[in-house]
Amino acid sequence: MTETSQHDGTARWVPTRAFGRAVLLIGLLLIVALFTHRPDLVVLAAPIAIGAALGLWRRPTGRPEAHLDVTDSTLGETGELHASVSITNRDNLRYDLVVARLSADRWLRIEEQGRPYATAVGPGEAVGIDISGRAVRWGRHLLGPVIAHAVAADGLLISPAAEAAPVDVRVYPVTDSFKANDAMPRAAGTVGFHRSRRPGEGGELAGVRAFGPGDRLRRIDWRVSLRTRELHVASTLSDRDAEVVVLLDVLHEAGRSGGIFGSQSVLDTSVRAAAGIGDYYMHRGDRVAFIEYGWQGRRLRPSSGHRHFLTTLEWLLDVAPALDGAEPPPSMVGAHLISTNSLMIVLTPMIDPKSAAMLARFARSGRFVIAVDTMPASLLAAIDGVVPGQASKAALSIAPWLRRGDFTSSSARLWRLERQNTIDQLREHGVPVVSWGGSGSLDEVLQQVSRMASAPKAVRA
Amino acid sequence: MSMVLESVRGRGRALKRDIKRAQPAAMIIRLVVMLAASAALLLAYPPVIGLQVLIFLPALFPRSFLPTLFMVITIWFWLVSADVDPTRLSIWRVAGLAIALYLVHVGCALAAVLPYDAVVSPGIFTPWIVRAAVVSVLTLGMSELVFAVRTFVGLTPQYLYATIAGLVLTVTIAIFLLYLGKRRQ
Repeated sequence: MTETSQHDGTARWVPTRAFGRAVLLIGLLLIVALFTHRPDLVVLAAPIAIGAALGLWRRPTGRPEAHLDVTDSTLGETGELHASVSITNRDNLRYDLVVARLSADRWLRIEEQGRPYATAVGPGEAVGIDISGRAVRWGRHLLGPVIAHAVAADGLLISPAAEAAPVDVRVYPVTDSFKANDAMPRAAGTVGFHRSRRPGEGGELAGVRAFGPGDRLRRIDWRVSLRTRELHVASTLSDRDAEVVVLLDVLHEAGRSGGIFGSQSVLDTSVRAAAGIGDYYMHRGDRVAFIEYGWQGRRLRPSSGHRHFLTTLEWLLDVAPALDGAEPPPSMVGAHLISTNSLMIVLTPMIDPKSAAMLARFARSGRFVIAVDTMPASLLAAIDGVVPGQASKAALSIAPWLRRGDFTSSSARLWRLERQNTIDQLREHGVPVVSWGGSGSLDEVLQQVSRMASAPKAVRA
Repeated sequence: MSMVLESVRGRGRALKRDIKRAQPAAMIIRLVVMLAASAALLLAYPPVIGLQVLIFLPALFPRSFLPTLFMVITIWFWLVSADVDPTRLSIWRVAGLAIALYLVHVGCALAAVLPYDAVVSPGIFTPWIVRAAVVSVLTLGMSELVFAVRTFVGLTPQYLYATIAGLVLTVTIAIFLLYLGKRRQ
């Protein structure tokens, strides 16, 4: 992707301070020489005058052009970024010096980050400056703009700025490794890998019944047929796909993100976990939908397959927390939008009481809900390890804000206890809450939810 | 008081960060400015303890008015010392002072536009060095001419006007030589 320079055609080259110094000193020395009859002062002015004349006898009329090229603007986390800044001189004299500055998002770690690049460009030439770096966090990041200035005439003239517009670099999140067992509360799709309760072609034996029209001959159970002297067939439960709805709670962000090589914040955990869960179920043929529980209230329709997985990664790039914790209205994110057969996996840090209320609403409406706690375990441990009024070194390294005020650490512990109380209440109301641990961390709760799904219960519409 | 201390500490941290980021090429330019400034002071005035501290003005603040101030001060010192001791008016001292002041001027011009932490492509200083060498040679030639004529003609007002005319002629010759060089390319 290339972005070229944009500039105002009326801007001109301007003299530098050195130009003013040259004019001042030449004039001063000649005037003083005239009044004091000192020819040696003329000799002192000579090199400055000669240098200025040599530099200015041909002045630049054009201006430099800057281009920013990115080899591949779609990367994954830890992907290598390669770009090139080219400076073009369309004038008929040399640019003694060109200084180009490249801005970059903090999550694009550029070698020589923040340093300007200095080069010289001959007449009618273009010079390329290779840029390399690495993307360290998911999201949409800007590389650029590039701002370049040229200097000519022995440092006496400086050009107007040449600017190349920034390039949007998309960095897809790393998918957290995730696997789960086949347990699904209600697989009611068409064809898939989950055991359902509907009869049909599948691997789970449902029973033996009398042979009827349309039954396949290879399903005949000969032992029972010989015993009863009537043809009987083994009936099976069909394997169907399921619908999974992944809901990301982005009301608040917590923890400090250090990119892929550092600590994970709540959003980092949520996005990477969502990508991992989506990757697993989509490639098994299940339909996965995504909902953002935040100020945008975005939704991604359910679908399966690799193409939908790529669409999901693109959708996850725009996940952003609300500035003031505003929740979306019920019309945007409500139980009426979620099928009763689907499994809801809610990725939430459980910071805001609104999140707990949302979970309870979905559970009361009869949806199968699993809450995955995305709060960084290190942050919770730092708060747990704090003695009231004192904060250990380890705790302060993770949560430096514990140092602020005499009662901050005590308030943090109180908040921690209240949060745990909320989680326990949710569990009592049938919403399992489990910490995110990647592969296999949801197996137990999936079994639990599947067992609860097969039990009869009253629901409120 | 604590705000002042915090401000001083902040400046100290910023200075430490700047020193760490500084690149050799930019530092060499400033070192050249310091050496040229030191040579100019020594040629302009007999050595005085503490005077050399002035060489830091153009090297550390090339974008400000301080290089101009330094050059004016140095010229003033030269005026005074040559008036007091006319034997200091020798061809090598005048030419040396002119070239040293020119190197301070052009070194500050380059240091002003080259950021201290810039990543520099190799070979970008070659044209600057060549140009400075050409100007130095022409200055030497002109000072030889000025002193040679002075020896024959003597120190008269007409001689001064002739010197200024000689400067104009030197500049014209330099431009013509540059024009011939460009035509050959």
